[in-house]
Amino acid sequence: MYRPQFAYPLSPEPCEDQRCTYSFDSTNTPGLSGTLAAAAQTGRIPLSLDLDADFYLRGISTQGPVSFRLTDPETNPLSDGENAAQSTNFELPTEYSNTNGAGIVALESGAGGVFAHGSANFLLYLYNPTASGIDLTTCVVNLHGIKVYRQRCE
Amino acid sequence: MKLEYLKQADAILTKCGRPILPGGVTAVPIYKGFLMPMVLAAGGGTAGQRAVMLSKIIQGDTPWVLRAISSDVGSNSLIGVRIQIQFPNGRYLFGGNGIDLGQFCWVGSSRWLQDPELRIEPGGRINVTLVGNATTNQLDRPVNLLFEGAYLYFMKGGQLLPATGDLKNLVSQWPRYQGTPNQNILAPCWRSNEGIRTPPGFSDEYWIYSSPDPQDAGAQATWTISGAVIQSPYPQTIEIPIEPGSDFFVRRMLFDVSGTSLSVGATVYGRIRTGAGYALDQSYIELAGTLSGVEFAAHWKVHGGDSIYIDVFPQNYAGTGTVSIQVHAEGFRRYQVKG
Repeated sequence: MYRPQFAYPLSPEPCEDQRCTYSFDSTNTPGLSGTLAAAAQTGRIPLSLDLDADFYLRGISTQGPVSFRLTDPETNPLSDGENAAQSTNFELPTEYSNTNGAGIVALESGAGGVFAHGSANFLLYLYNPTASGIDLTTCVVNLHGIKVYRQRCE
Repeated sequence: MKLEYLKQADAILTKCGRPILPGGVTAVPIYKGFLMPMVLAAGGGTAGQRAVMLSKIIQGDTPWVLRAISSDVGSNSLIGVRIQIQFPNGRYLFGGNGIDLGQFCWVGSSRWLQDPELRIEPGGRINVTLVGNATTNQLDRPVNLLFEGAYLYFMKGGQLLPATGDLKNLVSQWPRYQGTPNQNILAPCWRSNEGIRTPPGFSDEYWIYSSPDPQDAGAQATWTISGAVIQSPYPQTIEIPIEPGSDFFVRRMLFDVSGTSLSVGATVYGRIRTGAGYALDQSYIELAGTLSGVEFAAHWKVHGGDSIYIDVFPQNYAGTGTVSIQVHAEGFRRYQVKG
């Protein structure tokens, strides 16, 4: 489960932080459907956030054997080794973020996490590192973090 | 809760160096969990979905903070039951459309951590929505959640604060209506003579402007309907002139739609505007059903010498005969006092 590795500062009053997780799977993400062929990659899959508040991403957990690469709404890569071979830039979830494995990737970037405006899109790219097709309807990406409600700050 | 125990806990925690709120106020947290057993009953068929929403009321004599959630549906796979949790502040725990139960949480170290913790006052309600899909519809699905946290007993100088124990200082225990002259919080302020006053040098007078009576000016606001076909005229513009010398402030409008017989009828759609170009509504709306008699939240000011125009046309017409409309605008005229 998600555990912050160190204490994050609370937003200054009267802003309010509230715990939130975005969960993307085949029921709410059209890109997570069908079969991804062996050694194939998908195009970018937008992961849309809610309108009501900004979001700070603090951790990622996944399910499924497919490797993934994630960029924040500013298109900064969150898991990209920037190697020449594209396929080596994808994270192997069974070793890092898969809930069958170590569990969760805790992010330590910035004071509050990786910032995303309300209604922004994280961008997901998938890669099949195996020798057979992967059913994408079994794949899940969970974005753990907080929403910052700012109505009373303005 | 026995006061002596709280005092002892307060003293011990203070010696442990915990944070102290401004004014020397401290809080003694006493563990409390709320169990929420639920069953998503089978049903909905193989093609549809089934859903259930259940509530847990947070009870107690002092605020309670949510710190963790445990679930007995621990899994590492998608199980086809989606969950969404709504807190008393109206906000949701999950973004988008919730999370699959198999991805949510389990017990012990796999509990959901609520960080930062969420304070809930007594009487607050946690709503849980479970949605099953076509596959999981075939069986009953029991789901048990344990909301874990602590009561917060606020103390100062070794004594309970008045906010704790008798509830009278908690916002959640305040009366819904605050004893103001306006007891209906949804009523416009002018109903109880509150709000913006008539500015100095002006005088207000209750007034109703009406469009011409269809009996006298049938060509302006009457449609002849025969066999579900409108014969004349279509569409039509009704004008209500506002006399020069005083501005008119509209509080509400009445749309009187009538037919010549019981067998003829229509719903009238319209757009309301002034001659100066201001449109009260941009698109055509069903006037009698949506706007008739509705009190405006703020007065609609129409300048003297201008006119209210209502572009109208009938829809859903049937029968044979004529349908007519008369429009009344209720409010007040504002005169400048001569002096």
